[in-house]
Order: sequence, then C-alpha cells, then structure tokens
Amino acid sequence: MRLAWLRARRWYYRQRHPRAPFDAFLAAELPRPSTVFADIEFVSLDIETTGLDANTADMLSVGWVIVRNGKVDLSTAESHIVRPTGDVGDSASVHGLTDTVVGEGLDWAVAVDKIVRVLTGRVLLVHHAGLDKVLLDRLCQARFGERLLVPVVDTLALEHRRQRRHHHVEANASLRLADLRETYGLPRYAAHDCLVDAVATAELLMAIVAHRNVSSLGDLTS
Amino acid sequence: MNSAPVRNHSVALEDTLIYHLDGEAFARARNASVEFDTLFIRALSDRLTQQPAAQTFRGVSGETVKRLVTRGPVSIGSSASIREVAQKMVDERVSAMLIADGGSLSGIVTDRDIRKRVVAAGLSVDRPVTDIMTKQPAILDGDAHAYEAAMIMMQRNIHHLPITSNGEFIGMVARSDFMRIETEHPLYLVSDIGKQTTAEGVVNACKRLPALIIGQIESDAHSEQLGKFITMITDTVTRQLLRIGETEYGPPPCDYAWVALGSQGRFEQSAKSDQDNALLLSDAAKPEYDAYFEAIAKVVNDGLDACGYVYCPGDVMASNPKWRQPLQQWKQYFNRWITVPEQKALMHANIFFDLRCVAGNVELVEELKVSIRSDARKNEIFLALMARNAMNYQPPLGFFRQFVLERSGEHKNTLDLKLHGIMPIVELARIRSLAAGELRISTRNRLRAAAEAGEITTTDAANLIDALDFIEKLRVEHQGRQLQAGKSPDNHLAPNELSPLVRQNLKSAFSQVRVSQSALLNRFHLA
Repeated sequence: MRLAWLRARRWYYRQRHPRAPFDAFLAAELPRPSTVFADIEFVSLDIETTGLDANTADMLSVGWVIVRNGKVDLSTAESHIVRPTGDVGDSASVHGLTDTVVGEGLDWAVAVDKIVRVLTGRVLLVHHAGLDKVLLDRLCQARFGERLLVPVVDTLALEHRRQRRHHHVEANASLRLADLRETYGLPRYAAHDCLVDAVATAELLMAIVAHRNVSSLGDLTS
Repeated sequence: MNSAPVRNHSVALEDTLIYHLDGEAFARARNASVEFDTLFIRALSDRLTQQPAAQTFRGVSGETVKRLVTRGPVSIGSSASIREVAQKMVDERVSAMLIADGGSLSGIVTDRDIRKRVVAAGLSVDRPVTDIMTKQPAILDGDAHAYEAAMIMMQRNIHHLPITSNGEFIGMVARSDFMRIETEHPLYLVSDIGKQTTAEGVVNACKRLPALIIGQIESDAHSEQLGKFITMITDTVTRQLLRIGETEYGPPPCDYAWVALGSQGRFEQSAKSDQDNALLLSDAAKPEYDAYFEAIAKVVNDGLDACGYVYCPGDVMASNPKWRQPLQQWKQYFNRWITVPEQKALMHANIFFDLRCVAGNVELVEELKVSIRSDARKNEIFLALMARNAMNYQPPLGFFRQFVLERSGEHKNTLDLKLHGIMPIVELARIRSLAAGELRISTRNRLRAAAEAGEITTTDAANLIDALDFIEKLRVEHQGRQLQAGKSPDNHLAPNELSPLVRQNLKSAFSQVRVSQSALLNRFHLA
C-alpha cells in the first residue's frame, strides 16, 4: 500500500472512533517517504502459525524487537505464546509447540492489542509479508473492523526486487531468511523461534541498508 | 573487564555485527555463562599478548597447543611405587609422568617432585607414588592457544601440562617445547640465512620459506605486511649472497650499490616474484673492474634463482652488462628515457623507477634519485606517455560490470589479479607520485604522498589503497591455498570460486581502478 493511500485510509477510519488501542495507533504520526533510515522506528516481527495458508492459519506465537537509531534494541525484545482457536495440528512438529504449552498462552485478542500498541508510530518489518501481514490483517479486521494500517518493509520483497534488477548476476539465489543472511555474511541462528527470526530479520535489514543504495523509507517500501 | 575507562579505536575490516552492552548487562552475562566469560577473558589476553607482536609478525601465540605435543602420554597406575615410577621415567626418557587408572587421571609426578619430595625429604622409594604426586593437576584442551598453556604454566609455576582432546589425554607440553616452535619464527630464518657461508646453504635455508609464508597467511597477516616480510627475506638473501661473493672474490675495487627494482624495490613481493636488480657503480669505476662485478652479480643472480626468485624474463638483472654501470651512465639512462620516451624506454622506466638500495653505498642511489626526480617532474610529456602506457592494463570488467575472463589456454575462465588489478594501481601511484615530484618507495606511500601534494584527492588515495588491499588479500589467500596444496603459486583466480559478496567487492575494487585511470587520462588531457 502506498504511504499516501495508507495515510488517507488511517484518517478516514479514525473518523469512525475505533476503540483502544487502535485509536491511538491510527492517530500516531507516520514517517514520510523521505525519512532517513536512522530516524525510523521499526518493529521487526515474526509469527509462528498453525499452517501456511494465511486465510485459515492461527497465530501460535509472536516475537518482536524494535530497531531505532539504526540499531537493534535488544532490550525491547518480547515474545508471546498465543492460544489458538483450533488445535495445533501438524505444526507442532515444526515449532515444537504442543497443545499443552499453547493452551497456557495469551488470548488472541490480547496478543493483537499488544502488537497494535508496539506498532503505534512505527513501521512493521517482516521477512515475507505475504504470510505474516495477511494473517495480522485478518486478526485486526476481526478485532477492530479494519486491516492493520501500517507501513510495511519486507526484506524478502526488497531482495527479490534487487535480484530482478540484476537478473544477470544471481538469477536463482534463494530468498530464504537464513540464505540471505549468509549472503550478507551474517551468522546462522537456530531457526524457528519467532523472536530469533525477528532479531535475524532486523539484522538483515541493517546489512541491506549498509550494503545497498537505500537510505530512506521510500527506498525501502517502493 | 578491569573496570578502568577504555578508549579503543576499531576499524571493521569486514561486515560486522556490533553488540552494545552496558557494564551492568555485561557483568550479568559474565556471571550467568561460563562460555561468555571465557570468551572475553580470552579476547583480553589476546589483545595483551598480541599488541607487541602485531608490530612485527605473529609467532607462537597463534599456534594451537596440540601442535606442541610431540609424543603420546606416558602414564602408570596409581598402585605403582615411587621406584617403579622413577624407573619408567628413565626407560621412557621423560621428565614427567601421568598417574592414571584406565583413562582417569589422578595426578602427575615430575623430576622436580622426586628431587624435592623424595630425595630431599628422605622418603622411602618403596612408598606408593600417590604420596608424592600432585593431585588434580592443571590440564588444557588441545585446541587452546599455545600462549594459554604458557600463561597457565607461568601462573602456577609448573613445567609440564597434560593436554586433552575430546576428553582423552593426547600428551604433555613442557616449557622447553615453546623454545622449539620459536625457532620456526620468521626472524630465525633471517638469522639462519645470515649464518650461511655458501650459496647452497642459503638455498637450503630458503626451503623453509613457503611454510613460513603459509603460516603468515594463516595468521591473517595483512597483505602489505606480508609483502614487506617476503621482501625482507629476499633482501637478506641478496645481502648474504653478496657477502659470500665478496669472500670468494675479495673486497670490491670501488664503491657500489646493489639495487632492487620492481616489486622488491617497492617492498611488495608476493609468494611468486621473479628477480629484478641492477648494480650501480661509483664513477671511480674503471673498465677493468667489470670482471669482478660480473662475477659477484652471477653469484647473486644464480643464488636468487635457486632460492625460487627466478631469473627476470626481461633480463633486468645485474648480470646483464647493460644494467651494471657507473652512476654517470645511470643518470644518462634515466635522462634519455625521460626526454626520448620510446615504447621500450617506458617499459624500462616502469621497472627502474622502483629502485631501492639493498646493499653497498646508499649515497649512490640517493644521488641518482635526485637527478631522476628533477628530470621527471619538469617533463609533462613523459608523464603523459607513462599515463597512456598505464592503460595497457585495464581492470577486467565488461560494459555491464561483468568479469572479463581469460578465454582460452591454461588459465581459461580466470582473472589475472596482478596484470589487471595490482599493476594498474602500482602504475597509477608511480605516475601520480612522480607528477608530485616525489619518488617514495611503496605504492601506498606514493598514493599518500600524491594526496598530500594535491595531485589526487585524499578520498581517491584512500579508495585506491582499499582496492589494492582487497585485491592483494584475494591474491594472498589464493597463493596460500596453492602453497598449501603443494602447487606453485600464480596470479590466476577463478571468480566462480568466490562468494557472491566477495565478487561484488572485487567488482567495486576494479571499478575504483577504472575511475582512477580515467581521471589520470583527464589529468594529462588524453581522454
């Protein structure tokens, strides 16, 4: 979604007096396309789900960390287990989250409120928005009657665009988070913990900014 | 770590993730995790032990301790008597023995223990060894650094340290083992070469050079340092061969200077370098002296060739009578090259401008340099032709920034890092520094001098030095791999063996060279 259009949607929906914390979220000032990287606050966020279809999957856990002043602020890191509506199913074997553990998690609505609060005035940073952002939009729609109206920076999309521009160089390079991190010389982490992936994505963004000709929010979202 | 305020200036040599922790969080993490604590203690001692070493070359401190272990562990069961232990120590010719039962260590006994706790104390040798052994001795994992072993031994005032690998004892190190690896230090090679009285002796001593180069590469020596190191050895070999020649043919009939040219002149030799040298005689030289200098030159040129610095393919060596001349003649050579710059003259100028006195009377070389500097600076046409000539070697980048590789032959699909990467930078630096009226020795110093004189911008100089560092580093690693595999080193690198990021950086380095080359053409209105 273009930033101008996003701004308009946020203004329009605010006139309908949504409930907290969505009201404050919509009222917060957004960075401009010209805002430079160091002046933007990002929430690098990752979600573990019960499946790969964003339209039916449930959130199992969520982790995030804030990137500000061009640094990953590890003291802001949080992760939460979320109680899904259905059972955990097959993904237990992937995430190691069993029904018992998940049963002690947050109610999904409480989790969505927390996510909305941390995203207030910030930009959402994810690797592969196609899954996480669509799921968040669905949950937000269910809770507040509107999608999660937030600027999104997607490291996967960023790299995909870059590789398309230089198709003669690395045509078949993998866009998986771990592989991209290796390309940029970042260390390998034990995968499939939402907080580790959130931190990993945040570091990847910093490596991309350090290496590529990107300096403003406009460069990162276009 | 020691609670004192610290101000460090660090330069990231590659992409780096930096963690910023406040003192309290750092202390908490050290308390919570032994691994974390050990890591930083080790880093601190690394800094302390390597600070002086970084000025010269790394030696012992970088080795792993298991490389010091020469023989498997010698042990005896804990039921043995003192006499039995002493007897086995004599049989095995060891000065310390482990006391162990089925792989579990209970103690250690050394010569010193027998002297102190048995003989001096008047103890019966029939007593069990458990009475005198040191229980629970310090042990160290074989992957630890050698200096850690040294530190433990010094701190505890012990002479022997059992070494383990995956929990099994693999042997012991003694203090004397450190002396042994110290003799593999580069400086020992220098002193060893200096002791030789025959050319064969020098050649034999030089056989250790490839292993030393591998060692320097493995300890991650900077390519500039490595170039200086190899050149220092070449200089030593040259001086020793001259000394051997003078012993054989008597003292020189007149003053002379042995001049190193090309990469040796610039302190920039690599693992594969041929020799370029010349003899500069004092103007007091008479024609009949030449037989003497011819003989001396032959000793040095042949000796260098046998040591692996093969004969110069262009015959730029002191054994060639053309390059064995009195000062006056050398001044005329340079004057002619500069005022009548033909193609061949330019080629020669490239090699001869990197002249440096290795042995003999340095005044002769200095006087020649003064005359060259004043000739060259006045002569813009000569510099312009040098600049055009420098375009013969261009970075191997195509129009779309792709690598242009060798199309055929032995080195198909490779890049010649020397011809297309390093030489263009060396030439740029030489011309810029001559234009600034300077004739410094190394490429990096020439670029800095040119920047100080305003001949190029400081940024340009810094970028070119970075590019040179990077390309040389790739070459050093490439040649290190070849030496390691027992192959003779070359300059041909296959880009598809590099990671994408390194390829990108190499392209950036080449782009920088290309930009500086066009700036050079513009400077002399040749574009």
